[in-house]
Amino acid sequence: MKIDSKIPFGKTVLAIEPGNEWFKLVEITRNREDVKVTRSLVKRAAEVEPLAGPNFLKSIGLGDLAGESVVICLPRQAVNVRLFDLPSGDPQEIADMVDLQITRQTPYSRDEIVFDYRVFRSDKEGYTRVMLVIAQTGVVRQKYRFLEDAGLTVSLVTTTTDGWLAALLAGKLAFTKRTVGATAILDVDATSSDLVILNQGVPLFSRSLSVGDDQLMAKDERLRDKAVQEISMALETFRNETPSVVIAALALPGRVGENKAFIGLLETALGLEIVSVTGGGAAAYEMAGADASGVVLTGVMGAAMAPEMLQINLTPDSVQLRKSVMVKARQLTLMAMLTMAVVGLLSLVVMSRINRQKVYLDELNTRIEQTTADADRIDAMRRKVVLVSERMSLNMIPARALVELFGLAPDSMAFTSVQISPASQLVCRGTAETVADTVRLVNAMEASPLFQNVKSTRTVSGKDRTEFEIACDLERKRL
Amino acid sequence: MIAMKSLFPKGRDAWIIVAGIVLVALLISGIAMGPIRNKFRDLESRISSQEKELARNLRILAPAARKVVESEYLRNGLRIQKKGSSDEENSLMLAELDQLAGQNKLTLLATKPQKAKPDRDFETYVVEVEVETDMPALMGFVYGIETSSQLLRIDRLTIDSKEGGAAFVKGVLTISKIVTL
Repeated sequence: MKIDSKIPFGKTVLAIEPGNEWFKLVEITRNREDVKVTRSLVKRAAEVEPLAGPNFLKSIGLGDLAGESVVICLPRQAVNVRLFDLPSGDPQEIADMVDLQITRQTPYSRDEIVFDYRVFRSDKEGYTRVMLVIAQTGVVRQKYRFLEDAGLTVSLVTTTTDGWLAALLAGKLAFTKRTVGATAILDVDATSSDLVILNQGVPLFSRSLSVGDDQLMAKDERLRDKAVQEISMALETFRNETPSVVIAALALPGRVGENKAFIGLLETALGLEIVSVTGGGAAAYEMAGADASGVVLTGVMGAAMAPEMLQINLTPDSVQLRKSVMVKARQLTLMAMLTMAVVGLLSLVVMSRINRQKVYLDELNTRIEQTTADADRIDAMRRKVVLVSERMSLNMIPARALVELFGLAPDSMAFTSVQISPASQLVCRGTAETVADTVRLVNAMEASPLFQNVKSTRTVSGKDRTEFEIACDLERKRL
Repeated sequence: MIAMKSLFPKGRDAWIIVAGIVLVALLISGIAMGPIRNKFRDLESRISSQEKELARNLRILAPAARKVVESEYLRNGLRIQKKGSSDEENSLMLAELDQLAGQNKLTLLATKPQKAKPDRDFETYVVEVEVETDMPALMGFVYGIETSSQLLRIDRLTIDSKEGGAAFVKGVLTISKIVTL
């Protein structure tokens, strides 16, 4: 399980090493220039394990850390580390080869372990140096659950070796002296040690030793000799395996690097130059107080100092799956909430608009109610006035038409019938001496403003007289 | 703390969620927006209609227009206001016609009053009158009708010459009177 490059690490990084003997916690605040230890806690595992549960952080006085992200550093003793070269530089090929190698590197079945690896350049051309880290799933789950139950959010699970290697490669840790050749780094904890031999930044050998500060600093000389002998044997094993590489110095991270008695003992026994490691965060040991005596915080501190440089993630697949499901569930919940919020907002806008329109409509109805009676009364008056006016405009039309018609007709002309219809049409019939008389009458009527569309509709010339019929419209306007 | 940004889906998931949101939006617009749109249309239509009605009321009640209508109504509108029952109004009309006939010395051969026709604001009374007289008397009768105080009007007029002599004519007049209610 490679580290997800999208894991966000903030300015403050919390790393915890929940070991079998010691529970170690370091909080680092990072600035552009440097890193600062802001919190450090070391307690015996036997003391903290009974406190497991939701109140764990409160019980150890760190209640404010609830909900924070944390990097779990498994102690070196809890994992197996294998170093080997693979004949490829392609990350996918390396992943496939590691996948094939994994069953050979551990007696456990695939279901019982979690593994990850860190890659380095190899001194062999076309090869890649791989540091394979294997842990038992059960152990990882137990540590994971312990911290998750306490209310922390686990970002990833790595190992202390990956932690201090990350800090070393990031330049957060450095040797006090530069040496030519390989450097053996002995990370001495209270009851065990992590020995890694680095040559130009590439790990060549790794061994977990069952000797720690307790044995190396024991008053009993036999115990001390036995412990030194174990370190010596491990170095001898490396020399036998890799005779071409000479170990130039032994680096001691942590407080033991400042212990002159301890340095003298190892220098004499191993015949190596002893160098210490700077950037180890003396403040962390000071904050941890007397409890930190004999324990080493290099791994957990390194992981917190340079989390982006960590390459090992031993988070079990099932946990990753669960986390991914939870993230998806959160995404869906968030989207659902957003959708609901949008729908709610839209509903509010719609309701508000409907309400405004209803209020406006009510106002209109009220104003109409107040004005309609008066308006209807005035309108009825207006209609009556119009009626009277129209009636008066029709005044005298028939009388004037008759007077005008008889006035225009020549004396020789006689009317037999005159009709005025409701549509103000006039039809007159009669007799004239000649057709010319009829034509003259039509012309005279056309010239009169009272008659319009004057037509001679019938003319019958008889022996003595000519019968005629003339039709026209009457001008309705008052003249 | 997991950054809020990380809660927003990316890649394929984002597209699926966007498609889901679009689908939900379409469903909402199809199912919920229809009735909402109808509601808005209904409200807007009612508002528009009421606004027109209020505008009409305000136009009618505008002080200047109102003053003109009221003064005109007082001057002429009351002239044809119905004063009694329909029969009484009819009798008034017939009485005036009789009086005009008497004044012009003509004989009313027939008088056929019709039933009053009611309208929203007024009633129309119509009477058909047959007369036989000479033209000057008929003209006097017509003039009398047209200048009547009851605003009588001749809707139809037929004049036929009498065979007996050119001076005598037979006239049929359809006369109407309107009274406002």
